[in-house]
Amino acid sequence: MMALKVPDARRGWVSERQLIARVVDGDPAAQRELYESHVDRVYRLAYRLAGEDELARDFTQLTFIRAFERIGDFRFESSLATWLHTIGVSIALNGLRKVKTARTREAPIEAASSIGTITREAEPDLKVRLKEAIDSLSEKYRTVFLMHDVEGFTHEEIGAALGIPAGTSKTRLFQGRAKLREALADFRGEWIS
Amino acid sequence: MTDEERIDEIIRNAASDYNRPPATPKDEMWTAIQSAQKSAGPRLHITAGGASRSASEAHGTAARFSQKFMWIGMAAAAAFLLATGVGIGRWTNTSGPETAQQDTVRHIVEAPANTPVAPPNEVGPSSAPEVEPSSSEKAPPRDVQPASRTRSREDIRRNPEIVRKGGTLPRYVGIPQTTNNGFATAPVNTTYQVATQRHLADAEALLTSFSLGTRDERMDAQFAVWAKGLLSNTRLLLDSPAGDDPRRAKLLQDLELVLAQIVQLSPNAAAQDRELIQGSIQSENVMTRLRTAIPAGQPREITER
Repeated sequence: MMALKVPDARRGWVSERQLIARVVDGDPAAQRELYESHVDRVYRLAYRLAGEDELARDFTQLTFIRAFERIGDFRFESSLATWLHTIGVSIALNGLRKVKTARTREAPIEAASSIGTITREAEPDLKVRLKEAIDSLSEKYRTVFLMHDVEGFTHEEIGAALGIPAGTSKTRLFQGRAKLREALADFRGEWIS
Repeated sequence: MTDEERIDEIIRNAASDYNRPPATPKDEMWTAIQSAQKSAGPRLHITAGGASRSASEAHGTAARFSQKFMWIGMAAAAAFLLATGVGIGRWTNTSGPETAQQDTVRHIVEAPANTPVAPPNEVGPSSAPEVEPSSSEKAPPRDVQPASRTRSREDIRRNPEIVRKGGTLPRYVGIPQTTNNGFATAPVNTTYQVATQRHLADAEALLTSFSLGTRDERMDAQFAVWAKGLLSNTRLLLDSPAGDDPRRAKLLQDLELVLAQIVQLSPNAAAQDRELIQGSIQSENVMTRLRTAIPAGQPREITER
């Protein structure tokens, strides 16, 4: 399938507008083209947030189903990718909250280890510790950290997707990183030396 | 490079393995999307309180639900819209015989959408002469205060010059504009606008009561009944033009989650369950966002007249 051009190129915008117009007209090939152009990034972010293939698939599918339903409302005030990620992040975060609620109802909450109180008893691998630390971040820090530092979104894109100013995204990233550094403080000596 | 920057880089590199996604299952997901699109009924939601399901399964459930409860939903929506319409009708017909007031309304409609609203202490008749056009025009948008409906109408009736000079513009007029709570109102029908704000006010009342109420089975049952009605309206609004604004839609979606949790709260629910709901309310700042979204005193005054 043909991929879309970079959105900031004039030609890219034109082709994106044409593609959207075809999708609005109900052209199945255009739907597939739009899907192929964006599905990788939507799925990757959904997977990073969910950590499970099944959930990531559900979120991705719902994102595109809802996007196709509402594509007629797209006003070109942002790029199509930003609009899609706004839908995708909203679906993923809402879905994760519901899943979390359901799971905590099913099983009693275990004593959760909070950031800053993790002791380095068993000398776990950095990746294990980092995973615990990221999982322990609150949703607002975790989402911004994963979108920016892991998936490479800009603060403007994050702000648009989360409905917050870019400056707030920067602040959350700064605070999220600080919490991670704090959680992994006992590695600090090795890293600096 | 400082130590912190170096550590951040190490963390960033290590984090690339966090929830590393596999190859995108494009074809399988596309098949599921197509089958969901072919099924009847466009409504798609991950069910509240339940584990996630495939899109087609969720779609099937939604379709069954809408068939089963379609008539209830339609009746509720009709009653809701009728009540809102009556409220708007009564409100718009309240302009008295005084020509000054009619003149005022005309000027309100003609006033520019971004006209700042004077702070409450500047709107009163005694202070009206102090409102100068230049000072009003210079006031930055962040200083705009929500105008009380009763105060503004009364004051405008007494002193139409306030409006002529650009001193105040009550938002309840319903003309297209952008509210200072950040929600775009221009493309939304006035009826949906009023209905949404009234709904949010009711939701705020419920959540406040839920946070402050005593804990017993009878209260929980009452909260569940109350939340059930609000949940239905929330979902109707989400699928209406009122849900087109991303910020409002996000608020409604978060509200939907909280209401669904309250509806599902069993009479013998543990304190832990209530704490979870409180956690949902607090983590998303639902109360703050609700209060921000509700202009001062607007919805109730409109509908209760």
